[in-house]
Amino acid sequence: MIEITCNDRLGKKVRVKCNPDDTIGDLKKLIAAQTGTRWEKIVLKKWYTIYKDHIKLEDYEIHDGMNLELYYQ
Amino acid sequence: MASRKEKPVTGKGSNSTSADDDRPTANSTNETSISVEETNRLRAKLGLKPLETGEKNSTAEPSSDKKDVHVPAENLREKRTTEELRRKLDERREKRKIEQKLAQVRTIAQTATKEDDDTVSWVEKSRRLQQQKEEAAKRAKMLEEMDEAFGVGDMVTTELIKQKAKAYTSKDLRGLKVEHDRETIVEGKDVVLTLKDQNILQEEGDVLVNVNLIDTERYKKNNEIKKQRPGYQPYEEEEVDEHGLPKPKILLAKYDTEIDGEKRDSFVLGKAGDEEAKLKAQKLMKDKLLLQQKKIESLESRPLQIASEYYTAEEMVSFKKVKRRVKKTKSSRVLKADDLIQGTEEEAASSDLGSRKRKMEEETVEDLSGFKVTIEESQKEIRQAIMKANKLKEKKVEQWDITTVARSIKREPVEENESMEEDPMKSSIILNATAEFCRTLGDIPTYGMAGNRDEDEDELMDFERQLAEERRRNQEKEERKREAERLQERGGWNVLERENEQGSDDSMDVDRHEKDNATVILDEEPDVGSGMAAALKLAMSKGYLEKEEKKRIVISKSAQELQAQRYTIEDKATEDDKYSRRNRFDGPVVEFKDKEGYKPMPKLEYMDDNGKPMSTKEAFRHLSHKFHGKGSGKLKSEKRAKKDEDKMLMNRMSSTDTPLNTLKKLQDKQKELQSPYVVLSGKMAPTSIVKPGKGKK
Repeated sequence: MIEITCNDRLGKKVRVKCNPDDTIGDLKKLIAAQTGTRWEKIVLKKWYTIYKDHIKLEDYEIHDGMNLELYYQ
Repeated sequence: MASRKEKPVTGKGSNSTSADDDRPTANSTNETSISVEETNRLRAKLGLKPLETGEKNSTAEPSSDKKDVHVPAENLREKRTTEELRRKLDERREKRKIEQKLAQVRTIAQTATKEDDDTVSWVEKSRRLQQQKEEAAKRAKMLEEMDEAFGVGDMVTTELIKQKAKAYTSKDLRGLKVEHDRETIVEGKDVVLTLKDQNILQEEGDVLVNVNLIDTERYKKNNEIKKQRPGYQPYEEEEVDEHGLPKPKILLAKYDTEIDGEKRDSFVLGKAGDEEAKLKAQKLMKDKLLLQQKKIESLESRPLQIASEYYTAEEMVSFKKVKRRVKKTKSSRVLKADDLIQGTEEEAASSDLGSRKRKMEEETVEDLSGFKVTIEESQKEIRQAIMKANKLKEKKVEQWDITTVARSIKREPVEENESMEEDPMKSSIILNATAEFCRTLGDIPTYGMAGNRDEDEDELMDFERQLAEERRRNQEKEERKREAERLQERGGWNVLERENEQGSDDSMDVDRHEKDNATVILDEEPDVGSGMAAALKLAMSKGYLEKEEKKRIVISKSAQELQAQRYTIEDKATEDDKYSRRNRFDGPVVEFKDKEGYKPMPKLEYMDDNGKPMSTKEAFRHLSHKFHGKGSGKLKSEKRAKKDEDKMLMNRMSSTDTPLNTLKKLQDKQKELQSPYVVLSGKMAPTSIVKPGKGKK
């Protein structure tokens, strides 16, 4: 289990617990559940790379305690 | 509702205790997070597998396969010992195997002990063997004896020899090739020939060689190679073979062996070989003979002769004259097949040339189109002359009917001359140098242009004649008028017509004159009907249209004439000056009349910046400063300025007065006081000091 912090710099900061073999899509769903937004509208970014839904966290080398940028589309 | 007893995984699990089950909790840092349990529930809803919490799982089952397993390091000593043990075991096994194998093999001693246990049996055995041998020998002897008894032995031997002889005779040797020079194998001496080693696949006949001869040949060849000089020998002497005959030189002979392979002397045993040998011998004989011939040399010199300056008839043969080719000049036109045929016919016809003289005559009779020019340097001129004469003749014939009228007016002296010449012998022309010269002169276009020639006279006569005619016409006119006046008394209209007629006649007269002249100058009137070009041409010739070119030429000509009348080189200079810029260094070309006595006195004066004239020294300095781009220093320039000022002051100072103008002041004072003196010191008595008439200076 890993914990990831997602922050849109508009007042929402979420810590999400997830498995490393979850996909980004799953993560988005979890975030959506926590924040109350629709998961389709979420964009996860790190610098300029937009994470794609069907790829696992471990494949993106997202580890415990990492910060992801949270955007809405 | 999540149980609060569950220990949260994260350190910040405490905040979840106060949180509502669905709602994520916000902590002080505005960070929301939910507990594992809640997450798991959420995940279940989303259809995801539960979170893998390490603590929980570790108690339930061993850690995942990904975990590292501690592998103890290998004990090298143990390993070595085990290896050694194994090796020893293998060795043992091998040994055992070998021993087993050896155990099966019997040794000599063993066999001896087994079979020939005692010496008796051994002796018996050996004895038996000997007996057998003896028996075999006896039988052979017996057979021999039998053969001898019947006389078979001799026969057999003779047969054998015969067979051998039959197998190989000199007949069989015929056609065999011996790869040696014939001379090397000397008669009466045994030479053992062997079959030469050859390629198996080679299907040529056998070749015989002698090993010794091969060796000698090789030696010879090597010697020759040693003697060889480097490839290029510009001054090589002719080599001579053993008979003293020069060897034929072969170009780049050194490459022959490489190209053709090695050449070997060979002869074939049998008839053919003999033939070849014979030929060779013959050739040798010939060579020898040649050599002998060469050696014959007479000491007698050639008989003396008188040196002649001329060649004899025999010698002249070598100077055979090269025949010049007959060139044909034809009028340039497109070549057609018909022309070619004609040409061949002509050639056929002209192949029978006959004598040259007759041909010349023929040619003179021939008209120009068929004229053949045979170019030979000596005759070229003559032919040209003939051509010219022909042309003239033609022209004359053409002009005859036209010129009958014009002849009375204009007459060409040359033509006349010609006609006179022509009259006595019309058919042929006599060619002499002067006549030719005259004839050619007749065609010179510039002849008579320069004035004081016959033609001038003609022109004059022409003019006079015209005048006379005019006079005559006027007379006629007057006569007619008079007649008309006479007639007018009878009837009016006739006169007018007559007059008209007269006028037309007059104009016609003029026309005729013009025509007469035109026959010489103008071409025939072009046909208008043939096309636009023709019409234009006509118009041009009539003068309806004027060529601009012509006009311009005319104008320019007239201008030139005008100019030329009073043309001097000086004029040209002034004229040019008007248009071109005057060269300012040259000055006016025409002398300036007012200043006739003027002799310029050039004087160079240099002014400084203040406009003062400088001396040569100063001028030089000034120029130098300008040239070098830097003046003299401050001190020096100041000094110079001071000097200048002093000089100026000096100049200004009058020679009659002091620098302070005391004299002038004195005079002024005297004028003012109206006294011839001036009192210098006020309190003194004037009389005592200053005397009248004597001013202070």
